[in-house]
Amino acid sequence: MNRTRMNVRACWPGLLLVIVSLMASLAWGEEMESLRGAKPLDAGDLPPQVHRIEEGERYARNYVQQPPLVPHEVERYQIDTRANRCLSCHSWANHRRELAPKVSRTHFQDRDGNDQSNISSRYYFCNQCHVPQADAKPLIDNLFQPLQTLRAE
Amino acid sequence: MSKDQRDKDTTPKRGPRRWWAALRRPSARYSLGGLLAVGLVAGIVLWGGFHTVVEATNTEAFCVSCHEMGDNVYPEYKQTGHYANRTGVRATCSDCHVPDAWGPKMVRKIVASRELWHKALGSIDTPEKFEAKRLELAQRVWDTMERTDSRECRNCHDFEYMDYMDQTDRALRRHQQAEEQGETCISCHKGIAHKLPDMSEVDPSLAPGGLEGEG
Repeated sequence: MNRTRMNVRACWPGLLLVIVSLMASLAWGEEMESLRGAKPLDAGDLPPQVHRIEEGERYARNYVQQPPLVPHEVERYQIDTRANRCLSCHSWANHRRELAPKVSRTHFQDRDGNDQSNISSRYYFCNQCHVPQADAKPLIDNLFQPLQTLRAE
Repeated sequence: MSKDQRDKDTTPKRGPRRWWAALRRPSARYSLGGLLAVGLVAGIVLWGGFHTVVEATNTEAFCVSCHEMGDNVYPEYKQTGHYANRTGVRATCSDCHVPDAWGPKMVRKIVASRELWHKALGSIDTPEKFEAKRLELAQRVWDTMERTDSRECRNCHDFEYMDYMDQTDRALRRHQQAEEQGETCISCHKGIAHKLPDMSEVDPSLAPGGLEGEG
């Protein structure tokens, strides 16, 4: 009889630990998140939202120095030391045939302000500034307002 | 030796001459029907075999089995819509580079013996050598396609069946213009399945400019 009581008393700290950890896991389990969020392992992640590129109508500019957006797909366009696919329509030699806007004259200047015979190498990689237009909302709300002088609406 | 003597000459001939003699002598043993039947079957088998071999040389696996193709043009092609796309309809090497019609196909296959010769010479057996020749090789394909009015493109792409309402404005306008003016596919659609070569000689307006007068 005395022996059993001794045994129970000896078990107390261990039992307490088990109970506390069980309660803790119940309380925190709800908020535990892995890097991919609180999702069951067998549920797939949704693919990120892809904004369709809007072909056709050109978006107005929001501020004076804004590089105009590209109103068409440019995926897989080759722009490297061998060739520039954009210029096959937008160069001064080709834009009339393709009815495409020609590259700005400012792009002919090198860094010293000298006019070059064609687009200067520092403006050669078009997609560093010009990106296809898409109805993509700002990731963070902000108070930016486009210039009303640049828009017809 | 008179003609009679020659016909009666029965001394056994050797080698090719014997075969030639056997071919020239009318058959006295087999019926004409039997010979025709055997000839027909043999013809079908031989033609089928020939066709199978030609088609085998048209497969993607055959084309990229030499490293000149496998290492240079093939990886570039794999990035393009003709290799993989939404619907899985694809055009592989021979669809664009070998004519469909029998005559032009045979001519192309014979001309392709050049490629074996240059494989032996090692004309483009390094990326550097290939790069140095890229413009020349591309220009040759462009010239051929201009000459044939982009025949291989048109096996799949036909102005007649283009749904212009389903095209973007700029594609629609440009395609109608091309159709009216008799332009051919390759005049605009260069570098769609492989990377473009250095275009500065073909169209200098595609390359960065230098100081005026310098080029």
